[in-house]
Amino acid sequence: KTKHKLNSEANNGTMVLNNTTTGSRLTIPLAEALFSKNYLTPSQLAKYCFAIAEKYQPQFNAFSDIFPLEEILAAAAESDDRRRNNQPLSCLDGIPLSIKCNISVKGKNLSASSNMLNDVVGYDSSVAERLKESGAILIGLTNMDEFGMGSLGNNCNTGNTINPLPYIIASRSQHNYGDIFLDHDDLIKRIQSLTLPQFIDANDSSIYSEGLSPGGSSSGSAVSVALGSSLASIGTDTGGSIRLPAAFCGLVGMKPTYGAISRRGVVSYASSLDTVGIISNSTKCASLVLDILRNKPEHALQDATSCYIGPVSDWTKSDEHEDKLDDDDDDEEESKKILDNIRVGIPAAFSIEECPAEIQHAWNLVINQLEKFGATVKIIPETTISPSCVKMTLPAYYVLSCSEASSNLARYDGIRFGSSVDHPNILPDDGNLNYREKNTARIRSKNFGSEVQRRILAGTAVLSSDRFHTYYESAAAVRAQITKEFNDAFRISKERGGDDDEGVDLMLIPTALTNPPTLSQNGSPGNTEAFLNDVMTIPISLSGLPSISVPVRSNNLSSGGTDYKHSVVGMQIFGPRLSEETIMRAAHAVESLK
Amino acid sequence: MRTLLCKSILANISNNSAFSCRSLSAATSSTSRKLVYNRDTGIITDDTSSQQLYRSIIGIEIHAQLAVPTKLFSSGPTKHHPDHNLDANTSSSIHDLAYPGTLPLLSKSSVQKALISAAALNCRIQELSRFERKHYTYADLPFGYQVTQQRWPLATEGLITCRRYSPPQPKTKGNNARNRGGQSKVSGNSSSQEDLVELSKFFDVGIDRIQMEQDTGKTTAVSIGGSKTQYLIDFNRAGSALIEIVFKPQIHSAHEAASVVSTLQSLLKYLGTCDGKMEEGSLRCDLNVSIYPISPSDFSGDEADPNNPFKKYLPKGAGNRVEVKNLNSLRQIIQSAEYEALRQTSQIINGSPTGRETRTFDPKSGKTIMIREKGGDVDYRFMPEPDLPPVRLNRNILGKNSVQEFLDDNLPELPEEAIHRLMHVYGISEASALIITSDRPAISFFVDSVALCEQELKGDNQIDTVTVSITIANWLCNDLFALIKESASKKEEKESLEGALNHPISVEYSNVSAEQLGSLVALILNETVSTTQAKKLLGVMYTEELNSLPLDIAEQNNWKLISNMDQLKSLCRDVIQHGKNAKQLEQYKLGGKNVRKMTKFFTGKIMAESRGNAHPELMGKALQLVLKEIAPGVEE
Repeated sequence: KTKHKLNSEANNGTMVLNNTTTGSRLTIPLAEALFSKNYLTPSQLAKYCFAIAEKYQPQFNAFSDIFPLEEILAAAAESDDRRRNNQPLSCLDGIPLSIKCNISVKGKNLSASSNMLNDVVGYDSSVAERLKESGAILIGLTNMDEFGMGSLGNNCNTGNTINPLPYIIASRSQHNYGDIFLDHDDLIKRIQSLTLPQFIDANDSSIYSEGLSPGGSSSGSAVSVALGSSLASIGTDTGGSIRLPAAFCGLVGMKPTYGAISRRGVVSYASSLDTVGIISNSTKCASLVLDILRNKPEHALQDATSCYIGPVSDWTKSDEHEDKLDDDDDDEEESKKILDNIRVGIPAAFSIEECPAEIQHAWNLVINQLEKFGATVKIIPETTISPSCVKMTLPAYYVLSCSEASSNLARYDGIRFGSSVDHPNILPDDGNLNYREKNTARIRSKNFGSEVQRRILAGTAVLSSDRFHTYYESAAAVRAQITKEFNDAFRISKERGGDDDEGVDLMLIPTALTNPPTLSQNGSPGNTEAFLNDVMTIPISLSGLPSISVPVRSNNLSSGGTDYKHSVVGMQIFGPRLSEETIMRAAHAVESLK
Repeated sequence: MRTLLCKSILANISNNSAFSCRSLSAATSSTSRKLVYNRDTGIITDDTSSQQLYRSIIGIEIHAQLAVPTKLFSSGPTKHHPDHNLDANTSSSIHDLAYPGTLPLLSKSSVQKALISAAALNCRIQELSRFERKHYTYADLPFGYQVTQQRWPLATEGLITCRRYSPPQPKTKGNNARNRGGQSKVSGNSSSQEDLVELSKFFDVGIDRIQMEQDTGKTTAVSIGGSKTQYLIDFNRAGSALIEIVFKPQIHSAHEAASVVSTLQSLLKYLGTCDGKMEEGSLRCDLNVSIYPISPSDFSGDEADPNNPFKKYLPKGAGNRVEVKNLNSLRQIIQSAEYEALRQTSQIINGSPTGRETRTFDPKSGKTIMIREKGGDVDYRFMPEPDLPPVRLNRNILGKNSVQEFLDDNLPELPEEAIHRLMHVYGISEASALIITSDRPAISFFVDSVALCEQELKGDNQIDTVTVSITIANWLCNDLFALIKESASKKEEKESLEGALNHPISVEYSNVSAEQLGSLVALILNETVSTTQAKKLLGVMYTEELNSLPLDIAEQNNWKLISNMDQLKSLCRDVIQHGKNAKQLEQYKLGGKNVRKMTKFFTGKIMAESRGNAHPELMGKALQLVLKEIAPGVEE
């Protein structure tokens, strides 16, 4: 159907561009359409994406490993054949993707950006298996905060990852020739001739003397998609690690229901929270990838915490929806239908004083947009979702995630993982340890980064028998409470109770309350600032709910300004467990906000 | 004859165990008192004054490896997998090695076997149990934690009924060791005061809990010259499914401790949930030993070990419990319990009662050695296992709608029930019943053999079920098991490990079927063949003519009893009237004591002539008749 659409668009001489807030970018459905019309081959696209990855690696440090070109082209050549014969393995056949380096890929270093895992060679995780079956082309592994611990992209063993968005936006206005293509001829020509997007060199830039954080921990995933070196990236989200970088880099970030994508092959940080998800240019892209990756009953059970969500990308194939969303804005009456009967809640508990005006403004814009598409928007009172409980989720999250991290990382005892330590005196005072204990202590001290060591120590402390009841169990109680409060607000539970008047289908809150902080050379920005952002994503993680962050242009950029600050903000739409399909449709409506 | 079927069970045949006392000189430099420990009663006595001082009180924790082909949380092979490899570090999946990103998937068959074990131990089954992580660091613990069940175990509050253990008696010629204790109830023969403690044949011990958990790898210390030691780690065992069975401290003596372990070992083997091989580490045992004063007045008043979760089971004045870890045989259990009881007593006498300690047993010296004091307890930092949902005993795991339905189909008749049935329905001896039930397939083998034998003897009212049963039991327990054992150890001696058997000693591996044995015993009972012939027949059936009927083999080899009177008489005539024996016939005719002498001579000759096939009693009758016929009127 997408094919048909492109055809008609071509006939009209107009190219319908997928409008994200950052401009018109190459999406998976568009690439697929170009493949199927033989305007473009997977090999050409793969070569182009590889070239972007290579070119911008020194500046932005998105990848921990860019795969060898011959390897990429060998896979792409097979895609070429299948596309030529019109027998693609899936909608992802030939689509260049990247994977966060804590997700295992056979033969590649499974490093989780930690020196501890420098020598570990990966096997195929469930994610890698699904992607290979789908014919997707893997460009490389992306950098991250070590083991997923961090939200700024600055706890990585290969240095900071830098947010390219300011340079991308500046390039657009200055050169009018950044990553935005004019029409499909332009796009095809640029890909085939390997004409890479030109961004202002970060080193020359007068915009920011210091790099901005791309958000974390899936920092490289977001950066690789923002730069165009992959059309989507698979990341992981423990407390916001997909949604925050997506928001900071102006992208879509989807964290599905906990367990919807198998964690088998994902290096554990906090097992009860770790969730595999997607960073992409559009909601449709995220839906298509999620549909490939989600657990399906026909697969053998991959891990004990898996769950099954239903199909999530069917709506992307519907012309009806396409027309409603992509045709011109005049057709507002038509648009109204797609969110009919959908009730969106604004939880008052999340509307906090610290929320900057720009973000409040974007929030209102999105509310209007949702209403335009037929949704009913209502406030969820503090009696249903209480601010005190929301506030408690932050410490609860750190107690639980550090506990699990200290346990999950206990296996790195220096016997099977971690390079040996040359300097025997790395620890000043280890006199009362035996040989094995000394060895373990030294290797862990050397190979773990400081943030990882802090969290291990914190987790070890709260699990000790004299603190377990006061810390761990209290945190678990907060987790149960916030989950209950969310569920009470959702319509599903109301239906069970027979009362359909109160419950909402979705909720809408910002993804972050701050701009991306600068990454100074000396130390990280204030922790409290980072915590402020965490409060928007963490409650949802604790409850295992699906959530998507969509980029929303705020007013100063649309009025022609070049200042990056608050030009794009992330808005988060989340719903009850397994409500991915509804979330995606609503997010798609928000995307069409001009 | 001693069958090696199950040493411990055979040792139990003796109901009336004599007190076996071992006096170890517990004297230290500061005391010269000689203490004696009674392994049956657990009482520590001052040998000089005969005063009873203390009694041991023991709790046991047993780790039993479940007999399943894969690990508890992965598809890695265990030693029960047909393709398992004994070479170090070859039988582990990446999950067993804690490779990053791997996740546990619970083995259903492990849960099922744990459940069957728990039900057989009369436990309360918890339909919902949970896994937790127990953190500690050791080189052979790949994850840095053990996945176990601490607060929500699979089963609680069980009970085991133990047959009292008595050690294998030394065999001395002309002395029936089994009856040494006399026929009456066990009574003390070293001190009359010991009558206070009555030891019955059976005793009960409570089970606190049964939990599922992961096994660790194995560390081996190798000396590499000088004072240096190298530690080698083998992860093959890592992740294997264990059940930990925690017994309440209701065990009073070294022999009671051995009885618990031996009863449990037999039970789990019988259920097929654990192979019970202590020597291979399939069943490992930790003892918690403490002592308490016999006379309450000796109790000083200071409560030891106030945090002991089993405090309520302990008698007043019990001292600190000392844990002795990783005992690998009944002998080690007995020795270490005894050593601890005596050590702790002499420590009190010396004025320095033992603290809470963890010790290990040194088989060479027969002593326990301290590993660590429990002053600073290890903090295991228990945490719910986030990678595994709670274990619900539902259709998904059991394949049945309920635990009851599953147990109805999978929990067999228990050994003591089977022993009772064999003794009371079939009338066989307890000794035979114990041997048969120690090999579960032997029970139905026995029952089938009896049924077939009776069918073949149909119409012969002379032979009752009890006779049939006893005869079958004897042949099964003695002759057939001997053949099975022989074939188990004979084959492939080079390949198998030292002492390892080619196959288990079980009728499952018998070359002779229940039908064949039944039919053989029918031939014996209806006097078609003699016992001697039957032994030859069994041997032939076992090693050469595997599928033949005993009657066919007997006929082919002419191994049948001659019972026909005419035939026997003519045989007798031929021998008596043979020229070679004329002298002897003349001697017979002289009468008097020659009659008996020459009858004996002729019997031998006739038996030889018949190649041993003549029915002895009938042949005797025939000989009398023939002699009267040939030499009438001879008087004795």
